[in-house]
Amino acid sequence: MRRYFSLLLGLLVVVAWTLPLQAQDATLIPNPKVLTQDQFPDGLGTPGGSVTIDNVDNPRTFNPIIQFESSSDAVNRHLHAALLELGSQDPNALAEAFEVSSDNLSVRLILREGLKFSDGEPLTADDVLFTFNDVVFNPDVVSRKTQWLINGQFPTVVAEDPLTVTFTTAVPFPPILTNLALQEILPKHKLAQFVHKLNPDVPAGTFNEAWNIGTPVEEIVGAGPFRLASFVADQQAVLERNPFYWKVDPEGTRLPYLDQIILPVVSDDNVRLLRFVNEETDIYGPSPEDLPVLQQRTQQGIRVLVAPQAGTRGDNFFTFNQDAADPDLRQLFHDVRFRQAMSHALDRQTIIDIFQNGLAEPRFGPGMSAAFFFGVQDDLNFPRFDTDLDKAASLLDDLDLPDSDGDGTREFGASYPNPGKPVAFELIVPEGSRVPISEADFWAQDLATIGVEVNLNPISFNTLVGRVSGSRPPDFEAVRISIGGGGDPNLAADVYASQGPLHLYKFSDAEGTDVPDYQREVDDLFARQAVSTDANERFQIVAQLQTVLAENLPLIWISNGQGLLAFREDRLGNFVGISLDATIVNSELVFRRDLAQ
Amino acid sequence: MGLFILRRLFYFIPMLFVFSVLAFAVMQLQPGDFLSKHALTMSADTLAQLRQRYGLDQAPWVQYWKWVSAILTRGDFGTSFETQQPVFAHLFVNGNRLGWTLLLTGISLGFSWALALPLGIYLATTTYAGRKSPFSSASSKASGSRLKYALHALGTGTRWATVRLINALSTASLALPNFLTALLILWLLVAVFQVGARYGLGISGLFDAKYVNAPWSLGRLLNFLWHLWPVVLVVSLSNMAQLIRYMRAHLLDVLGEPYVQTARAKGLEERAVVYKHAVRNALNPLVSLLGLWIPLLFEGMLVAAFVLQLPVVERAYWRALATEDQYVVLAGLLFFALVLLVGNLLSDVLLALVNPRIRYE
Repeated sequence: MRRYFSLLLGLLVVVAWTLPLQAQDATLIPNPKVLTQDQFPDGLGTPGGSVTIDNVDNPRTFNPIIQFESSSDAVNRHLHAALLELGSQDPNALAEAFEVSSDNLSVRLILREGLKFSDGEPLTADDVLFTFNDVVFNPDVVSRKTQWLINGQFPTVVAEDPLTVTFTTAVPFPPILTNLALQEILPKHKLAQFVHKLNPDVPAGTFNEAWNIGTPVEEIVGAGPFRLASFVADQQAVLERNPFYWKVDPEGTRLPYLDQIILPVVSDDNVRLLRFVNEETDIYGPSPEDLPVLQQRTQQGIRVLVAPQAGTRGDNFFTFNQDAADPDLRQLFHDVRFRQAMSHALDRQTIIDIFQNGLAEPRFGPGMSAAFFFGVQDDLNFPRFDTDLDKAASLLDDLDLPDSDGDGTREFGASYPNPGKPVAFELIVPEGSRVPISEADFWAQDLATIGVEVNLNPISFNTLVGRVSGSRPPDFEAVRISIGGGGDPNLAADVYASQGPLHLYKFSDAEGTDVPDYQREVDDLFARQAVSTDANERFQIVAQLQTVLAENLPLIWISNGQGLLAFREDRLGNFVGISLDATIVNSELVFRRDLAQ
Repeated sequence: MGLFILRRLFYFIPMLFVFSVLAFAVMQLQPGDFLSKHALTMSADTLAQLRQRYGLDQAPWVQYWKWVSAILTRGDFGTSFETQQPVFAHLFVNGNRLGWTLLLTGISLGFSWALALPLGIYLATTTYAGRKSPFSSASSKASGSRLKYALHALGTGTRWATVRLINALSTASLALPNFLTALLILWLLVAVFQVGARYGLGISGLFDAKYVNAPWSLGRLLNFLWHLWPVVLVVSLSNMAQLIRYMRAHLLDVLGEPYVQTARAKGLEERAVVYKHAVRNALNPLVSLLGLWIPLLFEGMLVAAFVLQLPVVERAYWRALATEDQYVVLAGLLFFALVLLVGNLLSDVLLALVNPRIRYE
């Protein structure tokens, strides 16, 4: 205890000693967030240098509210900051303190004094109100607002003074802190002109076109560690350090350490790998099949991180559109026995062994990160519909799908609108990444042996997202897709709750008619966990939720892949985490080792 | 000639009209409403506005008219639904895509012709066994000297090897798909020559990262040339093989003509016979091929752009196809139609220049 005390004292002395130094830096705020030594696994860094990471495509937008794909996120994630942040002991970010009221109905946050956006304009409570009341909760704006809906209502957000903001909900809403950590604060002085309710001269919905990739880079400002320095379509985006950033290391050095993050646009898997091996890029998100190539090169300073170090990926799954336009398929997809048969026909372990070098876990139910979130083993006893082609075939027999013409493909029986039509569906898969296509092809071959024809159609990821969720009812029959995990289980409501914006297996549930019983139970459980303030009770509800879903298979979960990330250990220090798309999460801490020498 | 070019330019108008109708019809054949695919990133109001602006809720010919009249009256090719940018800016102006396309295609065109024609001529005029070479006036065997015979054998052997090598390479380049050639080149540079580790050189794209935003300098130019050669090789290689074969075949035809015999008979030097009389005539059919050649280069660029990550029109067009970005695809189709027309015009003009018998008066 005494040792800790002296350590703390020492730290205080250091902080006190650096304070006059910081005062010289006119742009540094009076109370910056001082990170603790333990957040720097490789020690404190030296400012300077750059990191190069290939981006899979041009960003589609610089507007973080409407971005839905990783190529935009790879740029935008470094440009913005939220009130709170996840994953560190000190959750304060733009807010220097917060308190939850004793009735759990409101959260009061105090902003750091003197905060500035990357263009030097002040960041105040006004910007927070703008972000929530005028953008996120605005019906004109396409945003991830469902995670903020509590019984159909948004929280009220009010400012007491330029530094104090209070969020109030009608019922206790535990996910609110996670939500606050996920919502970047936007500059009102740049974006208010695009919001119809603040600027009636522009039509409603203009905000969704704001900050597009043709916008001059000076217009795009945020409170994140970096700001956009340049963007050349098809070539690269360059981010430079935000001179107004509000974090310092324990010695008082202004973060981020790096001068630049360079993000060249390279849309081919093979070329990205070659460029990484060619020492052009510092970070690469490999497929499992790239591992042998990379592991040969460990002596060249390449290190491959595998989960759990690298964090876990979300769930990969197949799913059927229960609102499909084809009446026969729609009837079939509604039947849980069909979905069970499809799960029985999926040889998950072989798929993992062949296509993912064994680097994944078979999945029989939703991940939801509940275990991670609640800090328990995620070994739930889901009902398993594991590989069993005979079982699958007999389930299909029960569904009145005989192969009456003996050609090896089943036909719809008399109980369907169009008897005699072959049982076939289109399966769309994102092109460009090899694993999903291989998995889908493998599954399709097994399905062919039990008389179900699959038309595999690889299409671009953005088109796929559009077809899956762009219209109501959506324009697809079956899809192979991944959805990222992490954070509060409440976020999974996006997919599984009837009102979720990614409720891709049956969007028509949102209308409230013809909702299956299990879906009503799921909705009820989601509503209950969202307002439960007892962590243990909440975990039990989420566990039940997962079991109900696993029994009814709205999705055919395949695997929970382990995160893989290769980076140049000889060049980069403090590189600890990744996200689904293999880019830096803690970009402000990363430093160049070769500069330090 | 000027009048001819003007007349031909005038013909572009009905041709482009036909092209535009065809392109639009093809787009209409696609299943589904293309705007609904973008509903995720647009509000209902924006969608309704766009539908109204392009008349998407109306009959196809109304849509077509709205599209064409916007182009003719305002130069408005529509909006890219992917990037919310005007199509013209998105496809041609952003990142200077059109400039890069024209520059890279021009260089590739020059390279393939500059290399293919001499190789074709060499193949046509070189024989290595049995038959008499047009360049050697007497058979060495007749001279009786052992040394001469050995030298001749060596010369024949070298020619044999060269001819075989050219044939093998051109067959291989014809057989290898462009994307594989591109990947192979990149793989060789990285895995075998280790250009990054040894010399700090990058692969793919047009510049190393540090030169992308830099002003032009000697270093940037050299870096550009380093990134240029794989592009030129990939784009011209497969077409070049064909060109070599054409050149060889036509020249062989011409070399058998009586007027070539006459030229030889009147004592002209073989070099003059070949280059002044034979090659000029053999070139005529090739020049008329140029019209088809230019679109082929653009097609080659499409593949090169995708693998070699080039900031060209073809890559934006490719992405528009993949994302069903309708107005970008339409503008791209019109652009390629225009390229075809210009290529044909160019070949007609060149034909008149190389062949004095052709006059367009």
